[in-house]
Amino acid sequence: MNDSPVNHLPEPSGGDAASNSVRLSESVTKRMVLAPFFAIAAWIIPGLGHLALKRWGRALIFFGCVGGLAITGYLLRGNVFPPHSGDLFGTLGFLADAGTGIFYVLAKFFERAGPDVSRAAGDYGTRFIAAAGIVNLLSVFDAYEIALGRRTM
Amino acid sequence: MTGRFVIFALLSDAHDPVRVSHFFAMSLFALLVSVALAGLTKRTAKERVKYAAFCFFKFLAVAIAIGWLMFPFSH
Repeated sequence: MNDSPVNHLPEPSGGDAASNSVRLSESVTKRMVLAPFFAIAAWIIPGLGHLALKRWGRALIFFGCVGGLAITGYLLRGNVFPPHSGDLFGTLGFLADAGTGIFYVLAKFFERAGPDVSRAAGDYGTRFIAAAGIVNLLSVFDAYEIALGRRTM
Repeated sequence: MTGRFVIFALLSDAHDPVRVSHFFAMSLFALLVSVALAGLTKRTAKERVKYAAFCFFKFLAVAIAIGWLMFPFSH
C-alpha cells in the first residue's frame, strides 16, 4: 500500500487538471512545513501536538501516561541523566529522559533530594522516567505522521 | 494501595521516597505503558480498552513468569 500523503488529501472537485495538481502540491508542501512544528509541540508538552491536531483522546492519553510515568519515576527517586554524562550509556539515558520534554525540566521540582538508586525503588524510578521519554518519542512520531496526513486515525 | 500511593505522592517529603511494593510499581508501569500503546495503535475507545487490557495482563503474566524462572537463582 502506498502511504503517500497525497493519497489522503481530498479528491479534486472541480477545475482543470493542472490547477488541481497545483492545489494538491501546495497542500502537501504546507503539511510538510507544518508537521515538524506539531512534532516539536508534542515533544515539549506531551499531547500538545495531538491537541493542536484536534486529536483530543490521544492528547489526553499521552499527557496522562507520560506525566504519570515521569512523575512516578521522580517520586521513586529514579536517576535523571544529565546532558554531559561522558559515556554512551549515560548519553542514551539522557536522550530517553529528555524525551519527556517539559517533565525533564520539572525533574528538579519533583526530585529535590536527587536520585537514590541504592534502593530497588530508585532503580525502578530510573526505568519509569526512561519509559516516559520513549512513550513520548512515539507520540512525537505519531503527531508528525498525522500532521503529514499519513495516518488518518 | 492506589489511594495510599496518591496520598504519599501528594504529601511526600522530598527526602522520603514513595514506598511501594515491587508488584505495585510493576503493575502501574504495565498499566501506563499499555494505555499509551493502546492510544497509539487503536482508533476507537472500545478497541483501546480491549487492547490496553490485553497488554496489561500480558505484561503481568510475562513478569510473573520471568520472576518464577529466576526464583531458583535467588538462593
